[in-house]
Amino acid sequence: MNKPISSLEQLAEDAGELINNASSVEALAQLRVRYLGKKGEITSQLKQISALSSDQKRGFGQRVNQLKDEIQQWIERRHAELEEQLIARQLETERIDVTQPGRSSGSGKLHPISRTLDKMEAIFSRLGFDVASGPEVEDDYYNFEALNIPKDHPARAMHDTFYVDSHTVLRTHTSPVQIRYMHNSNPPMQVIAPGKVYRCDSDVTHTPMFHQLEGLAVGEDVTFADLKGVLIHFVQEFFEEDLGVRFRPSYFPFTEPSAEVDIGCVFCHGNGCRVCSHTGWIEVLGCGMVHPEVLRHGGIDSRKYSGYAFGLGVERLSMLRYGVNDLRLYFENDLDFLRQF
Amino acid sequence: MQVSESWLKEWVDINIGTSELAERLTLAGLEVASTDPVTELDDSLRNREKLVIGQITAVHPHPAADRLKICRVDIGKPKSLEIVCGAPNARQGLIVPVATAGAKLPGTTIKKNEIRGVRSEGMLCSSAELGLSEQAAGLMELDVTAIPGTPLFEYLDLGDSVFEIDLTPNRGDCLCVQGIAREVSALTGEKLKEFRVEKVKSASEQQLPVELKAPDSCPRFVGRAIHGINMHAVTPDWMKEKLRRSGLRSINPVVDITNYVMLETGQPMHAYDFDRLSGGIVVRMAGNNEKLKLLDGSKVTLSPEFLVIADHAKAVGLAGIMGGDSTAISDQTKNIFFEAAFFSTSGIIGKARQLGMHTDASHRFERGVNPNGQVDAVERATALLIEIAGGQPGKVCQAFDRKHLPSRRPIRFDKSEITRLLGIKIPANTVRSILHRLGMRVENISSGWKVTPPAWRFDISGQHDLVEEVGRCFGYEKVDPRMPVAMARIGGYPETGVGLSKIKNILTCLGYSESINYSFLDSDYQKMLMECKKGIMLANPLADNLAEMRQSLLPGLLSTLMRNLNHQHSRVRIFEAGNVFHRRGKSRTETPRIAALATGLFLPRQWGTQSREVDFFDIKGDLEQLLAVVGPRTNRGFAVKPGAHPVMHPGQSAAVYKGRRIIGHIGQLHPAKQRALDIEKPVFMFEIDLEAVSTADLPKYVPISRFPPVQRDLAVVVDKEVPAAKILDVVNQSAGEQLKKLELFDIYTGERVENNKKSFAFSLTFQSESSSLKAGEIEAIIENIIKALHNAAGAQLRT
Repeated sequence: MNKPISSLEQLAEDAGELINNASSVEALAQLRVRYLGKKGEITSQLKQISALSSDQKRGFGQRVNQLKDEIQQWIERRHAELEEQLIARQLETERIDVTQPGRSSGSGKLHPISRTLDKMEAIFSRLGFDVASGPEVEDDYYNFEALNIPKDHPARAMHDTFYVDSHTVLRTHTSPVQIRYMHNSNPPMQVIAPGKVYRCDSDVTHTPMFHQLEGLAVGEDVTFADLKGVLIHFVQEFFEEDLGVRFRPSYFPFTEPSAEVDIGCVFCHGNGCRVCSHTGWIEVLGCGMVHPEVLRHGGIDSRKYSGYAFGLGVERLSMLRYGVNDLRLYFENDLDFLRQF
Repeated sequence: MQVSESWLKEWVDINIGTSELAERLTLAGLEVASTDPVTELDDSLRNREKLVIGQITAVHPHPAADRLKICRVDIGKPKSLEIVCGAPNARQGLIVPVATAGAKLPGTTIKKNEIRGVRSEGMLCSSAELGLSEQAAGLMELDVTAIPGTPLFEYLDLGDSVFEIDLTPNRGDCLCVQGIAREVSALTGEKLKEFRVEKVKSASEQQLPVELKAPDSCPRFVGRAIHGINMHAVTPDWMKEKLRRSGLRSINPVVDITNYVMLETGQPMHAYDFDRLSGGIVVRMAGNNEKLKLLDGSKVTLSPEFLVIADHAKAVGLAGIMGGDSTAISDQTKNIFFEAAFFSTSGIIGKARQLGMHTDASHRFERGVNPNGQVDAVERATALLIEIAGGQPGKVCQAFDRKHLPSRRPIRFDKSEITRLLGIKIPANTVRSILHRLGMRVENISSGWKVTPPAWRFDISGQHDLVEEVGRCFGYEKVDPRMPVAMARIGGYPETGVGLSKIKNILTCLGYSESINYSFLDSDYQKMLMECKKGIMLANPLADNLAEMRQSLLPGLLSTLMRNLNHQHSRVRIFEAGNVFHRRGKSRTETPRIAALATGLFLPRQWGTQSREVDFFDIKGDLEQLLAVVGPRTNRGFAVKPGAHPVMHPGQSAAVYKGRRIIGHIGQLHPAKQRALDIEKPVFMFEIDLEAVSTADLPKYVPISRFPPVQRDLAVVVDKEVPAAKILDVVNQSAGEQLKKLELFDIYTGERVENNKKSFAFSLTFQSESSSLKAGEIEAIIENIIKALHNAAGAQLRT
């Protein structure tokens, strides 16, 4: 073995040992410079080639180049090992207790009435109903007269009206919006009007303010069969259940024929419970075919057009849907209540 | 209206079960709210001889107890019973219910036993012990004609049921047994029995002149005097029981008869003490301030809008509502005068309510009674009175004004109308038959029918009413539901419209829960907080603290806050959306607003975050996020500038502007008001007009620059008084269009600046659409900004 080659082997041995023992990425980087850098040991070996005899040149040159590749590989391998150790150490030190609770700024909740109304509106919107609103402090004319409830009509006694003055009331139902809407559009029309209504009554089952959702459809071929179709669809969509629905004749001055709608009890499914007074039925809304007098007040020819209207009690539906057993909770706004929705 | 099944059966055959009848009535619009057996007595008592009629044949004192008696009781068997009894009215001859050994009464089973050493073979019963009344003072006294040994169930028809029917106000005609029987007939097809009244021959010429001075309110008055009645007569058991089953208490035979006739025919009646009437009857409007003492002892002061029944001296009754005290019958009454009148609904309606009254009579007259039923009612009452209490009937006296009596015009009823409104076809003979059984006169015409409603139906004036009658009797369940084809509409939902749901969702995401408060509140409370003038007051509030319409959402939110603080919630974030109400001169406004309030910790208490109380800028940030819903272009129109609000801290409140218009306020609850409300920690809140955030920008794409943004930080020192907004405005205006983003990231006061100075540090991001910005260009812009800040606000570059 000639001398240049043997010193080369020594270099290889040293380099191998140093690289394998490099304890950090930084130390390894220094070794790379030391061996493979521009002024590194391999480079300086290559420079010696020119001084060798031509037959030595070939063997020596091959070996140096080979060694260069080897050192390269050793460094890379060691580098990978060190990286792996580094990550492993990081993973170890950064271990957390994932069971600690997450941080939050907290979020609020919609009032159950809003939640209920959103659902109701969504169902009617899909059926093509427009949404309208009207004032809560309302003229006697819109709240009563135009709805075929003249002064001293016994139906007024059912309404327990709040008066502002002799011809201004807090609306007792959302029905005045029917008239306002009819004044501003032409048949065919389909509209709902959600909102607050007021009655001078307060006990376990009545609050002086509550919410209704009014519905009105007027067209050339609108019948009681359509009313039934729409309301049965609504009830089953709202409760997401194939509930029984019955239309019981009733009386409202602004509809003729009129009906109240009972649904199969959502709690006992007809077996009888306290909520349905053991009848298996729960009354949820009033409806009917719009009275010709009301159409007339709305500026619509009752010989050409017919229509239906309905009024849904929002609290009632909400209570049934969420199992709330006390109406007054809706207006006490206790966060323990509100946060449940 | 409460009516028993057996009373109905006197007027119409019923061949369906009790519960089916109730269901049919309900589904025809006469809602049967409840169906109850007339007694809770055990069924085992029904057909057996455990509960029978007995007669006390002898009474002996009990040897060992002063208050007990030993009664010998005949129960129609060879062997009479010996029964010990403590009732004060146990006396010889009395006919009473007897429960014999083995009878199961509510709560007890009767046994043969010994009471204080004396054998007792049963129990003499009070009505309460039989579950026929709530309480009783003594034994139930049965008619002297009742035969001992008759089972009580049979005698009192105790297998009967009572329907409680919730009538709608249009069905005044069903406030009587006959009316409901007519409905039953229309629903089942059974024939209604005819109401045939025997005319009672007059035994004397006794008569009172009757004068109708207000014929539009009282177009018919029928009366009759009956002399020499026995006021000590007793109402027979059958009548007492019928009255009881309809919810009325037996009082005396005369009153009972008037009530009975009212329940049977729907015609309210009254009986006067004839001898206390002077001259004759005048039906007239009351005088100004005319006073009248009523039967129930109450005194009313009337005005000419009230109709009264008067004699020639004074008012003796409030027409259609209640009789007067001065002519009321009493134990001493010998001669009476019956009244059956027809008062028009318009003459009666609302009057009782004005006086805070409501009577069986006013209830019926307000809804309309049969205008032709008065003579029959008087005849019926006369016959019953003579049967029960004797007496000599005088002549029926009647006054009427045909012009003012309601008349029913025929209605042309087109077949097609049924299909047009109900969406179904009903066979013509079914239609005819239903209408006929409801008492209508029906004639065929080519397009359908000519229908004349009966006088007692005040609710039928047009075809639509007839459609309802036919529809409800035919059955709404027979109308097949039809799902309408959704109407396609264009417009109505612009993309730029901001729905209330979206606004609410932003606030819930920011941690606020929605509350809904009453729109009316305590006027004093509102005034204390808002320092406002009186707004819209309710004329008839439910309570003083619910008397004024809210002028702001904040008082309601503060009430809700206090309630929750009392319930141990210390960190509260709530909002409300709703209308507020103002008076502007003579007109009123109603404005939708949204308001929110926060108090307590900025973040919910949790590990690893610095705990601090919420402050003005937290809630301002929330408001800014809410206002951002309108999009960047519209949002630039909003500004928050110093501005006072009565409920807010003068140094920590601001007005929210949209352009030049104030759309709301934001601030801290005024410390004085905070103290007045006894709230411990500062409260921050805002309220804005919803309209201001109801329309948003339609997004408009701006090309994204391909050139790199350059960021520079800048800190300047200014006088403490200089508002941040001014500095930011100057930077924005002097920076040129290459300034893409300006963020104020630090505000400093303290040791490292002079005493009356503060430092603002902000970060500026520049970017050009057309080239990479060079260092020199940016330096020039910065120079320009510094110069502008110096000129406008005396700002010095902080070093």
